[in-house]
Amino acid sequence: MESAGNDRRGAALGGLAVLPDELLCAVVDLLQPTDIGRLACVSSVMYILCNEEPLWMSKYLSVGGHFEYKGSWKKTTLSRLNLCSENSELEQKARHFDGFNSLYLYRRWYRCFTTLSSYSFDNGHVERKDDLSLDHFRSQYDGKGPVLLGKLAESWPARTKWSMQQLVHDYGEVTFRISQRSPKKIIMKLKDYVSYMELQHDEDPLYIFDDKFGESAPALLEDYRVPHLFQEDLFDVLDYEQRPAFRWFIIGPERSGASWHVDPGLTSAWNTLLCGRKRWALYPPGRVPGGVTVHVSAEDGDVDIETPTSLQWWLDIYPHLAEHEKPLECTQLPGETIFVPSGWWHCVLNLETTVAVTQNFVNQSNFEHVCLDMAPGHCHKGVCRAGLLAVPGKSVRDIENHPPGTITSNHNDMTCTEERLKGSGSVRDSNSESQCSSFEFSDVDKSLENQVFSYDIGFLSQFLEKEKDHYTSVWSPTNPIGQREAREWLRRLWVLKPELRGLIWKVHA
Amino acid sequence: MATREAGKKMIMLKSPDGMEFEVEEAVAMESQTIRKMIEDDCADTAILIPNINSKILSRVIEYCNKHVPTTGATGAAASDTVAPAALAEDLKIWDAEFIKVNRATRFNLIQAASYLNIKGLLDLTSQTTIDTISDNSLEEIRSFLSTKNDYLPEEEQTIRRENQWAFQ
Repeated sequence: MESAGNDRRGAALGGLAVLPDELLCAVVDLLQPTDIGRLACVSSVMYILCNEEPLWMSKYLSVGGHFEYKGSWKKTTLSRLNLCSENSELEQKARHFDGFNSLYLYRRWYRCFTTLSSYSFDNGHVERKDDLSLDHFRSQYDGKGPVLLGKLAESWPARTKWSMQQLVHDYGEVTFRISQRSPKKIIMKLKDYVSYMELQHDEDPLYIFDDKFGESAPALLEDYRVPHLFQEDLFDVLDYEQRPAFRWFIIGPERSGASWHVDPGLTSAWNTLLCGRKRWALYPPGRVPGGVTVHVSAEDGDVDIETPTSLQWWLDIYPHLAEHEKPLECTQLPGETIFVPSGWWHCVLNLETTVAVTQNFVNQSNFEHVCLDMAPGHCHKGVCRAGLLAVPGKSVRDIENHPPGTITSNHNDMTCTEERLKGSGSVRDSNSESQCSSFEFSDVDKSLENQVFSYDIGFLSQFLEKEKDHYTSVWSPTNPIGQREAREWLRRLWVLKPELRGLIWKVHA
Repeated sequence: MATREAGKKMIMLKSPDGMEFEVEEAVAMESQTIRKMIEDDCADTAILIPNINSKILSRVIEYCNKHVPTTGATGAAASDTVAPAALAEDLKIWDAEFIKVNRATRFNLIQAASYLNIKGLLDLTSQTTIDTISDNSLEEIRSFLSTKNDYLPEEEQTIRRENQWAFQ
């Protein structure tokens, strides 16, 4: 990749020059901050590698704690570690060395500084409605497909009170939780977060994703109401401390956003946007997005999604998808509520600073899916997310090689890559009734050759591992609630919701 | 060619300089890259490993042979007879011996471990490199890496001042 004239690299890196830039960055990332500072003095290219902002962001995230942004991650980290005084002249000008260039570093820089305005185009793949009657919602959308609803939040006080300015005024001193792929928990005051948000140019900016805002800022709960379509939530019967996290207050700048995932425990969700615009991409259950890999542990059913960040996916993968591989898409506008049905893959990119609230729920339509997902074993969990790709046919060898009980350290991954996935039809052409069942896979195990994936509970149930039961098998760590809570949940539903007894009996059997 | 031998599935790995290595499938699958190829059924015939010469590839295979779970060099029942802690200690000593190689070989091993996606080997080789950078003087680092100090004298002074915090 390096051009012939790029000899500064060779001299300045010495033996390390054989490693590509990406790997060099990963190696430098293993160093302690003071070692990085010293390495920067070794040579020019070392200097460049040691002053990359993503490196210092990663160093900061591994320290964690109280956060106050100092204008750059390097400065923030050094002052957090008391390695430089408040007013030291760290604010150096960007240094340039002739004869060195790096496509890898440039691409990364480009992602941090590119504009996302071109992603706001909306081709109308997700239906827009003002409002729906509960019957209409149940028959046409619930469990079937996403929909954008324009008028559910019209009367919310949040529509006026949740501007960034007003929120900083009202909650500036309140501490919120940050969602980040980092080893340490990070919390920060809203006013500190907002000043960070204005100064930063991170590829994957810190993102407020707070499930405890009802405790830290209870007044926020007064500013919105659960829309009439989503009132039923069967987790309601559990005490607040027992029930899984179900509501999140979300603030994020341009470039931030949740990468590809299926909501925990196959719950459904609604998300209402108060400020800014969000770009959504969605695939029906069982259709793994390009660039994403699902791992389900054969040991305990732990589900792990390997995915690029949302920004990376939109910039690097999305443009290369063939027309029939493209997801359903929409740009959510302020005041709009999106409904994401159980099991649907989704990925969100904030196109500008956004403020939103979201809740996940279990209702009669997804109740059986949520219960199925808590069942012991791993196969059905894979099928619900990755479709027939997850059927042990390809990976059965692993399981044979390591009979149950001998697997110790290794995660026995069931790897389902998008290469094996050949959808027979375009996501976008399918009409809403058949959206969930119109995918065929040509490359699957013989016995399933004629089966078509369906998110129907009857179809999915055949992948339960019959020999496993709740008493002797491990409870998956990714289940939204613990085993005892799950039993308590079904018990309370039985008592409090007699009308559900038919369903409860079914899932219990 | 994938063949069966004593109940163990074998797989052929080929280096670009024409050497062929027959290894157990489980050993080859220590590499996540090869594992994916096998699982995606792209590995019916021999797998060509580009960019990794036979000298490095044979070291990589040696590492994988040692680290493949349950079936180590001592046979299938290793984990049943030896306590896990003792096994881990044994591996650590083995790793320390394994990594006593010259600099060029070590950097080639980093590259190979990254390409073949073998986390343990990547951690081991990177960490060894990191250890030589930590707590050594600039001159020692330069000589270890054969890096040229390509700063202009005044440039070097400014950069030393700027990074003074790292030398305190």
